[in-house]
Amino acid sequence: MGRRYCGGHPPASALSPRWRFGYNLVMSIAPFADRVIAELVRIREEAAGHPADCPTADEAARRAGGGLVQRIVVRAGALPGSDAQRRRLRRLLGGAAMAAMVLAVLAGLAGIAAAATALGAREPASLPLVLLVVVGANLLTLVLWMLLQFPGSRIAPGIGSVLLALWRRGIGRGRADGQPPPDALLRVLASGNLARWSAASLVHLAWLSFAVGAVLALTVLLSVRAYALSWETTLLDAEALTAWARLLSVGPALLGVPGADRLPVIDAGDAAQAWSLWLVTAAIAYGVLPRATALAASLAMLWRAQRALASDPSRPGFARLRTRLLPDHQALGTVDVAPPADTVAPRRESATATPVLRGRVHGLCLESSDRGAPPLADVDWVWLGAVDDAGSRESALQRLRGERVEALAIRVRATMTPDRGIERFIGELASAAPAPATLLLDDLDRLRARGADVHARRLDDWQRLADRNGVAVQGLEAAA
Amino acid sequence: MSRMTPVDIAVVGHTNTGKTSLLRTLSHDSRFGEVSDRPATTRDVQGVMLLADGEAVVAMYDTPGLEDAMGVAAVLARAHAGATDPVAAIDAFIAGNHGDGRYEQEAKVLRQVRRSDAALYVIDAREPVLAKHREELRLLAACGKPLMPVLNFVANDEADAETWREQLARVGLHVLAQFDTVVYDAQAEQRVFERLATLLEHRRRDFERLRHSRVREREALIESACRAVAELLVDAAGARRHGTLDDDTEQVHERLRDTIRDAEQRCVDTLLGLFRFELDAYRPPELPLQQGRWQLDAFDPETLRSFGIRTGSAAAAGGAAGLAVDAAVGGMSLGAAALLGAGLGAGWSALRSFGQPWVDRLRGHQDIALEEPTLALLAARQHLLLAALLRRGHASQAGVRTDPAQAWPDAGLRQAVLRCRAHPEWSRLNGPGGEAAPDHAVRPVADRLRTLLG
Ligand SMILES: Nc1nc2c(ncn2[C@@H]2O[C@H](COP(=O)(O)OP(=O)(O)OP(=O)(O)O)[C@@H](O)[C@H]2O)c(=O)[nH]1
Ligand SMILES: [Mg+2]
Repeated sequence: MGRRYCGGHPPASALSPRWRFGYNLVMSIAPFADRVIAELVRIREEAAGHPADCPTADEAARRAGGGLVQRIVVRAGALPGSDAQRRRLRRLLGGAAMAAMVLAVLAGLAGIAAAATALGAREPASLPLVLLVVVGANLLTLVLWMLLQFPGSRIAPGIGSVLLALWRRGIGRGRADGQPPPDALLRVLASGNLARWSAASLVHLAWLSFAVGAVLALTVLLSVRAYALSWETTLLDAEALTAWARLLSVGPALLGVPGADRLPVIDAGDAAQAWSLWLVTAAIAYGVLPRATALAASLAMLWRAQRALASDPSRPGFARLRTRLLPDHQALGTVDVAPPADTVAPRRESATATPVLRGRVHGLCLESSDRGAPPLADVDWVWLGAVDDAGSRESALQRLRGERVEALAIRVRATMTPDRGIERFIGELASAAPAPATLLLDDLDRLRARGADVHARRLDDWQRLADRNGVAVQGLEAAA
Repeated sequence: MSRMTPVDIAVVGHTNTGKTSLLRTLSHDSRFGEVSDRPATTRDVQGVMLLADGEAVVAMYDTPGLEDAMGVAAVLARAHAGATDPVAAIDAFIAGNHGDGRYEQEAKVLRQVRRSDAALYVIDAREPVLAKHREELRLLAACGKPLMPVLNFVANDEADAETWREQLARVGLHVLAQFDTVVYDAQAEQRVFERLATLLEHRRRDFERLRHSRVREREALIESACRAVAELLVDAAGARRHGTLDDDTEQVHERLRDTIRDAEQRCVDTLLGLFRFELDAYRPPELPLQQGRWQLDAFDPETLRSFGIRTGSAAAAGGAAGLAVDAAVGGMSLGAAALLGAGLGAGWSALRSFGQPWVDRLRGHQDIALEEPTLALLAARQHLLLAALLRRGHASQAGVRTDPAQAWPDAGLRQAVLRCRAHPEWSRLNGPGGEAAPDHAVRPVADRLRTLLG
């Protein structure tokens, strides 16, 4: 994949006045746009299998500080392409806000029309009919909606998928083939609770303006015209009608407008005024208030849903960014430089041929408990024992210098690291005894158990050490 | 509160005992320094800052190995015997010419210890306690800084931690830590910092901060790793490939196989990325994919339930669409449109989640999904990989290997994954239109994995 331009923000682009309103609306929830973009970036990077490489964005995020989530959001915003997405998002949201407004206006007009029609259809206007028209459908759909909330979250994410599917089947299909499918931005916006609560808010908004329109129309019409209002029935008897009236009056009564004692079966002056007030109040109590409550609740849930966007740093796509954005360590570099590598130590002439150990051989054992002389055939051991600390080192050197040494054998554990300390002492031993010296490598089976490559490397290291000091090397196999 | 300077810790020890490895593992950085099983790999002093929530708290310095402490002791005894106290002798040695440059490496170590607040003395616990070790400890003690031994290689059979403990106690070192740099143990890491805090009591708060941020980060790491595997399993369980009946079945299978293979590789890359191991540390072996036709089982309770659920969700959505229509026509339809909408939603959903495979078949389509054994294999493999990564130190140089397990690691996981077979819409592998799996699909799988990993 080619590397894309990766720079800072381009200048904020001028928006056409048409979108000015939406823009301002969206600016007030700018963090929302940032989180949507972070979510988009996550989806894209998870699909790609790895986060995009953009050091400037990472740097910006680290400079911004804060918790991991905040840094993730800043990084997403600083990635190339994010500004274009942000502009698209603003346009989309601006468009959505316009659509919502148009819908609200239409619904308000419909409310006015409905109230006017119901009130003016016939003289005298039937109170229950007017109320039914003005709040009936509203209440019914509200109850239906509330019922649908019950089975819990399982139901709700369906909204997004249905909208998407509609898009795919309808609009998506209407486009020329080869057009990209609904893109990631729409998918994020239509995902989960976001779509659920925006749809709900939209519906509640529409119904609320319907109800408000109806109430306004009722108020105006009842104020400026004389209507004959009646409680009418054909099917029910008088008691039932009274009972209904009482039941329906519960809401208005709570708002302080109980209606009149007497049902205006025939027009009765004062009572008509009381009942018209009752009608308006009932429309508010059963139409406006429930919807307003539902709208407030949906908006609150919508707010919560958008807060949840890009807020979970445990999503793998986000968690992978921790190393870059909120690292747990930082290199300090070299603080004390090594001197240039030593020139290779002058090699002493190495033992030309591996001497066969036989006859009288001085032997000792380095850096381990005394393991005794190895049982080698044809060797007559002069065993000096285990040599470890400075004191025993010194006495071993003394003895080698003092005695006639025909051959020297140094038993070492092959598992030991051939370091400079041991090398120095082996060198001292070799020069203390002017005789061929041999390194006997012990514990070869343990070394082999650590792996073939470890084994080979370590043998090689011992061989080099021996070569540097003119010493031969011989393995002590367990069988020996 | 004013920012304190970070605590400086020197990491010292005999050569090839795993000092650089210890720093790799403690800093969770497999690229720190150079590691090899030869002597004198590290030649200069390099530092790494450990951060807690982005703030510098502890600086650790890797030093060259001590190789010839006895030689240094001899120089000290010869040249600086007149010094007033051991620390003065060490300082004089550092300032001098280090035995004509022969002990340059040792001088670097001692200098770094003198500059630091404390030192960690790394020990290869497989080695016996030798005179050279005692000499090194004497030298380090002479630096006048708190010293804490760290027994490395403790997961190794050859290690003899007990003897080391006893011998260290004899030279007055009672506070020590065991920490295998290759076989990682988060608790042991915690103990290293905890013990350092007892050594440097006045800096305890820094170590506590570091420990707590490490705990949180580990928690977050495990959480997101389980989630990555869970998402793979949900994706794979719901993956479908369509073809006409005339298509070569083998080809349709091949397409599905490629998809799953890529998805698995992505998951592995994500895991390695999360744990910050080198990306070539693990390559999953070839997937032995079975014939992958999944018989849609109408009696599978999940299929049935999904029918209900999908009906419900579509009904809600359809209903919502209806509601909007109602409002627009002024409520005169009395909600009939809402009811109609709900009805449409239900019918449409049924067609999609239940009817379509059958309809497809009638129309001459075939629909390929993974069989259970393949899902079991995927689950087993990712579970083992995850378990291996959790126990892998950043010093580890061997590749990651997983046993060729084929069976479900556990019945609960099986159930949680198989449930997702009825939900192609949860899979991201079914084209770009596919939504990511919802939380309530991924969560049970991830939680199950979590408990499995303990
Ligand atoms: N199995 C095992 N191997 C280890 C462990 N720690 C280190 N190693 C290996 O031991 C060898 C030495 O490790 P290094 O980290 O290079 O040791 P060092 O102390 O930095 O060595 P120098 O820099 O040369 O002094 C490497 O091969 C490591 O992989 C451990 O805990 N377990
Ligand atoms: Mg090293």
